[in-house]
Amino acid sequence: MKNKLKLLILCLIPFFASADWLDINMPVGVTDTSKEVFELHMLIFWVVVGIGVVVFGFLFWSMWKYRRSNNKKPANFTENHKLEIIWTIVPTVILILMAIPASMTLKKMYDHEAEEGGIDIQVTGRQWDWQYKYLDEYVDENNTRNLSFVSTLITPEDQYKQNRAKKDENYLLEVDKAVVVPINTPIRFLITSKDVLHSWYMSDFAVKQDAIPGFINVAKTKINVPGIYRGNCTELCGERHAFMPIVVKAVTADEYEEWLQTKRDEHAELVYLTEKEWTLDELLGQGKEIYEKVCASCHQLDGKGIPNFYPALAGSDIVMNDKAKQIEILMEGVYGSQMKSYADQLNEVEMASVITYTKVSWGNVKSEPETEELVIPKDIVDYKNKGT
Amino acid sequence: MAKGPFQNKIFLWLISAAGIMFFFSFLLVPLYNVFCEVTGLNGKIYGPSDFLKKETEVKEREVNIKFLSIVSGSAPVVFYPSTQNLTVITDNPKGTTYIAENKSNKRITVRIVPSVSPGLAADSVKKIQCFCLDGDIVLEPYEKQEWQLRFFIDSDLRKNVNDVYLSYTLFEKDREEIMVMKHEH
Amino acid sequence: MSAVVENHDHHDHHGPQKGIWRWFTTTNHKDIGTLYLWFSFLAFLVGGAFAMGIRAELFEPGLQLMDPIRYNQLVTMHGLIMIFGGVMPAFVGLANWLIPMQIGAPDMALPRMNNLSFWLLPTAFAILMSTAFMEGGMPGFGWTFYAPLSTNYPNVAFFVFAVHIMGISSIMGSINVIVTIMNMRAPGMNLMKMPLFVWSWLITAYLLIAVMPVLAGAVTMLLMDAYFGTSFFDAAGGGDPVLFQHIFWFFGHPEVYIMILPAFGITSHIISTFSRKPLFGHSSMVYAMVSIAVLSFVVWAHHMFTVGMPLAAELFFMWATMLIAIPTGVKVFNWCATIFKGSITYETPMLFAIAFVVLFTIGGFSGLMLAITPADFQYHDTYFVVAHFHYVLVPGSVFSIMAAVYYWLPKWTGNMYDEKLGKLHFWLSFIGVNVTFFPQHFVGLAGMPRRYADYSLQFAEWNAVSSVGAFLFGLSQLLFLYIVLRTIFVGKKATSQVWEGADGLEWTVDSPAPYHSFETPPKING
Repeated sequence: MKNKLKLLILCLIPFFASADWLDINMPVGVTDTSKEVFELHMLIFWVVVGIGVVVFGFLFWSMWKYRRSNNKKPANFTENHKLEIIWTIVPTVILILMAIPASMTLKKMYDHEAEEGGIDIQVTGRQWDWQYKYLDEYVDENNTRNLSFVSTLITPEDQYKQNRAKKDENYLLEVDKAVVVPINTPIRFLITSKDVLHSWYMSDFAVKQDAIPGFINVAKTKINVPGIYRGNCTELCGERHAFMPIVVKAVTADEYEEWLQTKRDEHAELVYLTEKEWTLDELLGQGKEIYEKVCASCHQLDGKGIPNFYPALAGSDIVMNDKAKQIEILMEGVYGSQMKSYADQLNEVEMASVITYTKVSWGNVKSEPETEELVIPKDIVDYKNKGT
Repeated sequence: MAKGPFQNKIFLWLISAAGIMFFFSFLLVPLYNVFCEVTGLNGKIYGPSDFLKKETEVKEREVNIKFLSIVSGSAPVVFYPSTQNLTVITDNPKGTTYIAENKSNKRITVRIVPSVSPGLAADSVKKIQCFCLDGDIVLEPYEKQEWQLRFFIDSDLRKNVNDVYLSYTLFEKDREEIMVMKHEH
Repeated sequence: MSAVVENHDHHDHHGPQKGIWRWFTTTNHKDIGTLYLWFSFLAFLVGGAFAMGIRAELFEPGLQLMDPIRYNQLVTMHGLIMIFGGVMPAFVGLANWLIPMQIGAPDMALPRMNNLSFWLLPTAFAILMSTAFMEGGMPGFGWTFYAPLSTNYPNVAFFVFAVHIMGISSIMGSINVIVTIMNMRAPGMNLMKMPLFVWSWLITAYLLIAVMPVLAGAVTMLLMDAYFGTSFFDAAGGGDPVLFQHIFWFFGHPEVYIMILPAFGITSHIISTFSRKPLFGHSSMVYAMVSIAVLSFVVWAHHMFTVGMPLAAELFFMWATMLIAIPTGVKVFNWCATIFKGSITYETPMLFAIAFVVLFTIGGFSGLMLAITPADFQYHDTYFVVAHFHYVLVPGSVFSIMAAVYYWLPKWTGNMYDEKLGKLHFWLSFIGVNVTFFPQHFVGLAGMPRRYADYSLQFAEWNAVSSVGAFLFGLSQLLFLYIVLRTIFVGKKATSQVWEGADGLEWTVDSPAPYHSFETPPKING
C-alpha cells in the first residue's frame, strides 16, 4: 500500500511541476511603469498577508484556547477603549503608508509631459478585432495614407470548437498582423471604438484603457525589452469578446524602420497587384485563408451560416448571381444588421480573393467556373473609384 | 391601532425619498454634463467660442495638435483630416479641414462627435467654427465634402500639456437608397 | 370611515388559513418570511445550475458545451439571479421572520404591502426568465448591462421591466422595515438596545431606498435609448457611455453593501451566542455599520478606474475606497474580541459564522488590493475581481445566510436540524468554496479576463481545479436542501431557548414560534 502511494505521488509530480501551475502572480512586465505597479502590488499583498497572519493567528488561537472543554467560564467584558483606539489608528496609518506610493505611481502614469521622439498609434476596438493606425507613418510616397491595418485572431476554429484539433501554444493569442513598435521609445496609444465598449489590455506594460465609442483615451508606455507580448480585450463586447487578442512585437529601432519599409513596399506592390492578370487558383489560395479568418466565425466553414442569425452563403442567390451586389455588401456592410463593412480590413486583392472563393465553393458553381465568375482586384478598385 | 386614512409620517417621507432618488438619477444626466463642462474633465466640447484678444500680455507657447478620425460602425464614408499635424501658438486662431467621401450610391446622413485628449485640455481647445457643431450633415451618393474647423488653443492650457489630440468620430444616422429613375426614350 | 372604534384586543387567535390560498393572501410576517426564504433557495439552486454550466464550459480550454452567446447568457443570468433572486430575497426573508420578534412587535407595520412586496418577485423573475423562450434569448450583456452593448440587445425591454418590478419590491420592503423599526419597538427598547441584526437592516433599508430608484432611473434611460430614440449613453447624439457606468455604479456600490450589512448583523448574533459572551463593542459595531453605509455612497467609481477619468477623480476614489477598510476592520476585531476568553462550542451556525469572518476578510484583502488604482489597471476586468467578489458574496453573504438558517431554523420549525449532517454540509461547502475561488486569484493575476467563454492555455490548470471545486460546492447544496427538509419533517423537538448562550426576544417565545407572537408588547429590562 505504501509503495502504491509513493508511486501515485511520483506520477503526480510532472503534473504539478509544469510551469503553468506556478503562473499565479502578476507579470513584472517590461516597462518602468509595470515594474512599479508590480512592486505596489507585492507591497499591498504582503501588508494584507501580514494583517491576515496576525488577525487569523489570534482568532485561531482563541478558538482553540477558549473552547468550552478548556474554559468553562466565559469572560464578560464588552469594551476596552484603549485597544479600540489603537486598532482604529494603526490600520489608518497603514493605509496612509500604502496610499502614498500608490498616489505617486498614479501621478506618474498621468504625467502629460511629452517625451521627445514618441510615436502615436490610434487603436480602434471593433467587434471583434483591433484596428491600428500609425499616425506618424505613411505607406505611400505622398505621405497621405497612414500605415493602418486590422489585427485578427488566427487560431483555427477547429482548435476551439469541440476540441477538433490540438491547440497551439499561443492558442487564442495569435493574430495575423502584430503591432510592431520600437523599444525605448515613448508610445502613445490613442484608444477608441467603432461600436460598443472594448478595452485594450497588455499586462506586460501594465496598460489597460477602455475603448469608448466617440471618445479617445490615451495610454502611454515605453518598452524596455524586445519581445512578443500578448494581451486581451477586457470589456464584454458581445459574442467574440474572448476572440480578439492583441499582439505587440517590440523590436530595435533598426528593425522597426525595416518593418516600416516592408509595409511601404507591400503597399507599392498592392498597386501593381491590382493591375495584373489573375488566375482562379491564385485568387483561391488567399481566398480560403481569408474566409476562414474573417468570415467563417459567422458564416461558418461550410458556408451554411446560422439560421435566423447569419445568412448562408452556400446556395445564396447574391453570391451565385450578383457580383455587384456582393461587392457592395462587403464594401458597405448591410445597414442595420451585423454585417459590417470590410473595406478597412481587406485590401483590393484580399477582397477579390475572398469573394471569388465564396463564388466557387460549396457547390455554388456547378462546373468549370467561367472567367466571369472571378472577381478580380480591379473590380474592387473600380468600385472604390466610382463617383470620382 | 390606526383609525381612518393611513397617516404615518415616516411612511410618507420614505415614499417621497424613493421618488426623489428616482428623479435624482435623471438629474445625474445634466449634472454630469455641467460637471464635465465646468471642469473640462471628459474631453467634451461645448459650443463655439469667440476669439477675443487677451487684454494682458500672456506668454505664448507652442502646442502640437494631432488630428484623428474614426468612422463608427460601417458607414461607407472615408473620413480623414486634410492635415494630420499642426503646431500652433496659443491664442492664435488656426484653420484646417476634414474631408468626408461618401463611397456608396446611397444618401448618408452623418453626425460628427469630437473628443479631446488629454481630457483636461478640452477646456482650452476653443472652437470658433466647427463642423461638429453643425448637427446632421447629408452626403449625397459619391459626394465629397470638405469641412471647416477654426480654433485656437487658449493660453490657459495647463503647463505640462504640450501635445493635444483632437479626434472626430463620424456616426451614421441614416442610409437611404436613392431610387434612380430610368427614363424611357 | 367608520365612526365605530373597533376593539382589537380580544379577537380570536385563529391559526393560519387552510389550503394553498393561504400562501397567496397571507399578511403574516412569518409566512412571508418563509415565502421569501424558499424563493431565494430556489433562485440559489437555479443560479447555481447556471454556475455549473459556466464552470463545466471553463473546465477545459475550448468551446466544448456551448457557443459564446449562450455562455454570456449564463454568466449574465447567474449574476442577476444570485443577486436579485438569491441574496437579497434571503435577507428580506430573514428580516421578515426576525425583525418583529426581535423588537417585540406583533408583525410588520404594513402587512398587506409586505405580501405585495413578496409576490412581485416571482412575477419579475417570470418576466426575466421568459426571455429564454424568445428569439434572441436571455440577456447576455453581464449583470452590469453596460451601454451601448445592452442598448441594442434583443429582449432588453423584458430585462428592464423585470428590474423595475424587483426594484419596487425592494423599495416597498425597505419602507416596511424602517416604519416597523421606528414605530413598533416594544416600550423600553431604545435604538441602542436594539439587536444588531435589526440595526443592520435599518441601515440596509435606508440604502435600498436611496439607490434602488437610481437603478430604476438607469434602466429607464436604457429603455429610452433602446426604443425611444434618446441618446443618454450614445455619443452620436451627444451622450456618453461612461455616464451609464456612473449612474449604474452609484447604485451598484451601495448595492454590494446592501448585500453584506445584514450578514454583519447575523454574524454578531451567532458569534456572541456560541462564545457565550456578550458582543464586544456593541455601539462601535453600530457606528461602524453606519460609517460603512455612508462611505458606500462616495466610492462608486472604483469600478471604473480604466474608463479614462482624470487624475483627481482617480485619487479621490482610491482614498475613499481604502477608507472603508477601517470600520470594516473594527468589526472584524470586535468579533475576534468577542470570541477571546469566551466559552466556545462549534455547532454548525458557529462554523459558518467563523468561516464568514475569515473568508470575508480574505475577500476584503483582495478588495483593498483592488482599491490601489495603479495596481487595479492590472486587476480590472480579470478573474482577480471575480475571485474578490465571490469571496465576499459566497463565503461572505451566502455563508451568513446559511448560518442564519441553521441558527434560527429550530425557532421557525420547532425542530432541531441534524448536527452531524449540518457539519458535513459546512465542511463540504467550505472546501468547495475555497477550491473554487482561491485559484481564481491566480488566473486573474496571470491575466485571464472576465466573461471569457474560452481562454488561453496557461490558465488551464487552475481553471480545472476551480471547476472541480464548483461541482463539489454545487452538489453540497443539495445536501443543504435535504437537511432543511429533513428538519421540517422529522427533526427532534427544540426548546424555546434552543441555544444556551442565545439572547434576544425571539428566544423567549415557543419553538416553533406561534403564528402571532408579541401581540402584547413584552417588558424590556434595562
